[in-house]
Amino acid sequence: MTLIPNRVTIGDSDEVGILIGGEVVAGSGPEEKLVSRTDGSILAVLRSAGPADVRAAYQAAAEAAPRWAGLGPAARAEVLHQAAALFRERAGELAPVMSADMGKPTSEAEVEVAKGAAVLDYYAELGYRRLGATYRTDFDEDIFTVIEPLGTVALITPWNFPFTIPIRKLSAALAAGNAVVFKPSTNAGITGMLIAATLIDAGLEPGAVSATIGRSSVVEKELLEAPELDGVSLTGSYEAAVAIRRRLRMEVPFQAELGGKNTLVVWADADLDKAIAVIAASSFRNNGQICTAAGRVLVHEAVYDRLLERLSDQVKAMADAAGPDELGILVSDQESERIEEYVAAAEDQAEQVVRPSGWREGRFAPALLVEPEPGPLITEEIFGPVITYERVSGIDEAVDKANATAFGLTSGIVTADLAVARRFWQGSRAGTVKVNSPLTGVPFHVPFEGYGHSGAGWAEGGESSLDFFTRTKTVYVRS
Amino acid sequence: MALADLLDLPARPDAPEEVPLWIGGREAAAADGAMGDDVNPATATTLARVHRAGAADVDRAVVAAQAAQPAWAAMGLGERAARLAELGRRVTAESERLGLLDARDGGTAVGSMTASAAKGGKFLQTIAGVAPELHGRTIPATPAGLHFTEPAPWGVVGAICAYNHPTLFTCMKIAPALAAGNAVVLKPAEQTPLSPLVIAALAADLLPAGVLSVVSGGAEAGSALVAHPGVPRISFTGSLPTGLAVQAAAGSSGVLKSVTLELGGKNPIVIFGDVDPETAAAAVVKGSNFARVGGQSCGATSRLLIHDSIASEVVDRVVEQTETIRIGMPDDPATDMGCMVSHAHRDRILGYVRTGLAEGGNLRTGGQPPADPELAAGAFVRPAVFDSVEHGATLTAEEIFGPVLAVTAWTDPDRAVEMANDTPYGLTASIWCSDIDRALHAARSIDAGYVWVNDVEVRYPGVPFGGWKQSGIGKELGLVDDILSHTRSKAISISVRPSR
Repeated sequence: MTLIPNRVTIGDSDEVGILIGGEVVAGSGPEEKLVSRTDGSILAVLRSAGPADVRAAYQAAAEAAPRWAGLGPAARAEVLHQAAALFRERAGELAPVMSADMGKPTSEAEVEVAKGAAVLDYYAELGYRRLGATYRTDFDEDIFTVIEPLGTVALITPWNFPFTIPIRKLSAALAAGNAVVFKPSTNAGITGMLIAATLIDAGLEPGAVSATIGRSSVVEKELLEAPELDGVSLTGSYEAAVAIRRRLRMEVPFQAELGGKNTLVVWADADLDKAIAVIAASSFRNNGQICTAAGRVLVHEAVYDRLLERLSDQVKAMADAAGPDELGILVSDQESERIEEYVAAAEDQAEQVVRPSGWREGRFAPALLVEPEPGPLITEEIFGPVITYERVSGIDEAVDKANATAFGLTSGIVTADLAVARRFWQGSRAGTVKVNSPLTGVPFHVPFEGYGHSGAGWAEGGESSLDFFTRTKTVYVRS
Repeated sequence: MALADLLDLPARPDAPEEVPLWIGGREAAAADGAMGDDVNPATATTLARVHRAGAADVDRAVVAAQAAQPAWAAMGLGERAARLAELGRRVTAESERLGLLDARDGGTAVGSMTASAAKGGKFLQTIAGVAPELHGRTIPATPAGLHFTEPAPWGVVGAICAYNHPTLFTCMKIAPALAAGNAVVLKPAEQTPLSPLVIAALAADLLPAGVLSVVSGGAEAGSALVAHPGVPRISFTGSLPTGLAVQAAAGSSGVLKSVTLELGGKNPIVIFGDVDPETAAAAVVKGSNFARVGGQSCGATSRLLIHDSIASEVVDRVVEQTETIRIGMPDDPATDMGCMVSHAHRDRILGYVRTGLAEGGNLRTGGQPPADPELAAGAFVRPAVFDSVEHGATLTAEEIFGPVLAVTAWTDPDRAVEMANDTPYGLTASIWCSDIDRALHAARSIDAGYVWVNDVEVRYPGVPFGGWKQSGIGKELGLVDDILSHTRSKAISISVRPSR
């Protein structure tokens, strides 16, 4: 029995293709072996996208865009609601594919699909509530704004939330009336194909979403320099964002949600049970492979020792693949090796390294690095279940340390003191600040913007996503 | 009988069963045992023996609502929205049986009632979908303070709705009020209590007990609800006289109340001479709502104000098209137009026809019960078109709420606007003109709250619906605004002081 639904395979073969204009075709790019993260087997061979495929995707999108936009928001809403219903129906089929693609437990994948379906329903309704405004001047004229889609947009998405991150962008872009060229990560490629195929099953016209899975180095130029391209939304790395911006024409809006080196402060008055819970949810969920995750914990000297003792006990007691929060399987062996190097460096560069022992081969054990020296452990995004632990004695010091990074995605503080919390949220150079709640977890209807190297100036979430995927036309009518 | 069984109620039950009220999450008998016959107006037979709520029952419902509301509000927007979405799915799934029930209870054709019921289900889902948009604002009023507003529920909302769309109006009233975190006590129209009760039963496992009560009954229940000191917010759809009575009762209740009134209209359709007569005639028939609800519609255009140059041609076609409307038993899918909601109402309409004739109007078609002996027992009337009605005659002045169209011709567009405005009402207006400039000028000059240019009798989701002048206070269908209308705003300003 194959895990791969034939909806994503090419003809009668068991090779996975790309989706262009509603057809699953063999891409002209390199062949890739897709490896299952759950058992290491070869899932399938992917015939990845080449330059010609991306051209074809843009041509199909540019042709479909006016029709999709012209349907009007209520009709588009029907398609998105239908897609939500189909995803709910197919969650059982989708979840194991997500696990195999990038390693998260099937139970978490199912939760992700349910959340994504809710996002589709939300943007469906929001899409036709893009309200313009009417204006008066001293002239006898009607002035009003009309909100229009950008046209054709490229959506570039990562593997860590292989369903919700693409769906958040797709829902908003499509609800606003855009056509999409969708490039999911190869580590979430099959999931991406299923997302696109299901949207078409729901009634989206085929040209309005193409899934061009492939190597950036192969398709980057056609993807980003296409004359039909009207906007790009990326969730990925800072490096990817720099490379993208270099290629874009001046006038193409670019939304980026990038990484973070996010700091959580535990204040002198913090309830330690609460602090432990917040740290666990902020740092170890999804094996720390979340852009919003807390990598750096700053602890007020008044509670430093007690918290360190409890946190160390907690970390040492963690087990691999235990219960619903199965820990240990990172997205790839390369990632495991890369992160292991940070922990290895900490043996010399930190006072103490705390890790659970007895984990199975191939599983990555979380690590607590106490008082690391200034250097990469403090400044670089590790993107794994590794946290640093440092002492602070004042709020200004905490703010300065939290800001000592080019990133600015999230930060947080555990305290009951409103003045301290406020000083922290005012001073923190991050787009999302959490007081007494985990740094991870961003509701889809709330704006989310990365400061510094964590973003490119456009918030995502709620109406902010619709703001990005639309533009304003002002019309003046005199008789 | 169990309320859900009403979905299988036949047109002529052999032994009409008792139908209870719905209070505190369950079926409830009227405290004083009052009951009445709920009649199928097409057959003049009794559908059910319905309990009729009195002041004591309304009080019980309000008390239960007050007790249940805080927990409902505390559930949070997301949870409330999810439950309302599920209720919407259930109403949509049952739209055929609800439509048939409404057709038998109120007399309107089943095709129209099924479409209307499906709209109700969709509206619940739409309100649930936009609920996350309900938010307060932060205001940067001072650098040292935190200033924000929060929309909070009122507590208990009293809702009273009309008989022409029982399922749809129930959904329209309860969805935004519940989404906002209120509990609702609903008093449906006296003539059409059945589908509102079914909807309450469909919601039984979704809404905590007491969050939705249905106190079916007449004026006593309505007055008690409006005057109740525990109900700070009222949402009423009905006639002007009753709306004024609601306003007065709220005013003299001793408690300040927020009141939304959706009342009637004497809505004009103004057609200029540059409109194609075929298009114009179709518009007039569409706007009359003869088929859709037998003309029993607050937004229907019951006054045709037409440019003299095309008047006779258009009216001829209107008469022709009106006479093709198939009048029949409401539960027959082939029927275009059913009967009026009651014999009393039908007789009132016949009275207006007589008045129209007495005042010299030229009755071109209809205005009497149909000849078909099958329909003799029911509250049927053939739709009436009166030509050459002088502006100021009774038919141009009073809301009939039935299938009677009055036609008046004009040559001067200013006179057309003048006639359009010469009414205490101001709900809808429809303007047909190929010159957009003249059309917009007329649209701005006519004192109505909901104006169409080159269309008629359409409702657009998100476009706020409500009348001016004596047609009402407040708006509905604005989606998030709908939900907001059932909230009261609190401003909180925190002065952030450093702790010791």
